[in-house]
Amino acid sequence: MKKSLLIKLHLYSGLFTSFYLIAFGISAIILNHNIKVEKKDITHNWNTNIQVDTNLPNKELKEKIRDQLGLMGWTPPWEDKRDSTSFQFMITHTGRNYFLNLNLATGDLDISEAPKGIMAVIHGLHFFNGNIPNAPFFIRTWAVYQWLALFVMFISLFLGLWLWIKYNYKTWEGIAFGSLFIVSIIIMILL
Amino acid sequence: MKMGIKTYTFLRKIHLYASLSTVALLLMYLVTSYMMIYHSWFSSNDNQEQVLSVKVDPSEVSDDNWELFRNKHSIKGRQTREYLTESGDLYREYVGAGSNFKITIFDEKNEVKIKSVKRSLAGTIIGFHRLRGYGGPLQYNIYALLLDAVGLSLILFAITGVILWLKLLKNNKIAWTILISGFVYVSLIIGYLLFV
Repeated sequence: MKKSLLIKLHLYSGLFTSFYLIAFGISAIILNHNIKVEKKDITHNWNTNIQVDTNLPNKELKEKIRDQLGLMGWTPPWEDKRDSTSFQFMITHTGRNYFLNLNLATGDLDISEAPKGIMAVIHGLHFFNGNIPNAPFFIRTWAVYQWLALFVMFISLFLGLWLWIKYNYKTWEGIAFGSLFIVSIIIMILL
Repeated sequence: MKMGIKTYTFLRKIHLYASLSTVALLLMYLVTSYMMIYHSWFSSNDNQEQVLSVKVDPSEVSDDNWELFRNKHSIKGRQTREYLTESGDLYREYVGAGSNFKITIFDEKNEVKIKSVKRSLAGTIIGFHRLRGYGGPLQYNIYALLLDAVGLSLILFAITGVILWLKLLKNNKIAWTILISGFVYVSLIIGYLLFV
């Protein structure tokens, strides 16, 4: 295969994943240093009245409310607090937390929103597979992008290595980075 | 965009060395990412779980002799947790790529419960992906350093790659289409998650 074609392929595949790589690079550093990037501040409060069967078990009740409000997100059970008069729970996704307080007698619902902030969203893409309940189709396509981005990263990495070995190889680079490769493998074996 | 040959060569070196220095970990992360996407293909039933109760003399589990106790019972990994339970027992957890040990030293210190999970090969490989952070034995700190290098490399070779492309193929419509569509798509996803 011609060198120019290999360079183009390396380049196209690199460009396709460039934003993904930056997001992952940032996220890797955040994880490694356990940096807290999620904002907790409530920025918006609103209320509404809903019609639901309040005798439903927690999980079904939360999902009915979420669907009625048209919100997307998971409903973590460890955030539930229920007594005879009220039901407090949370809806959460990669970019936002919703804290909900339902009056079981009247159906009045108070909702507080806490956006997690852009750094939390970029970091969250590391774990994100597009599969948020109630998410639109567009968000679900992330799973395809993620799969392709990883595949293309493979191609870009191998092509880059091939181009280096074939056209640009220097002995000292081979020894230095080859040694680093072996050291990295040994470190992993020791973990 | 004007760029001298020296700058171009310098950026190309950064681009090359950033990837070469982290290629082992990058390959591991790429492989394990797919393994995590298809996690159902790799059964966790192959993990070996064991619960062991050991009668001990209190001096065996004192701070001075703790490393000896660990070696004797092959407790591997890095300590990630230590706390007193509500009943006053001491709880310690050790995590490595291929194993996990949960140890309870009962209040009277004459019995220790060791709950261990030895992961399958697939679980161990995925375990590398999940390990992070400084602290513990030397190899864990070197691994954390390599992980920082990977993070930095990902950012560096994405940025230098785009700059090098501008120099090489700035009039290439296919390249511009790929770059802009990637940018628009990722921005829309981030924007949607941020504001909805």
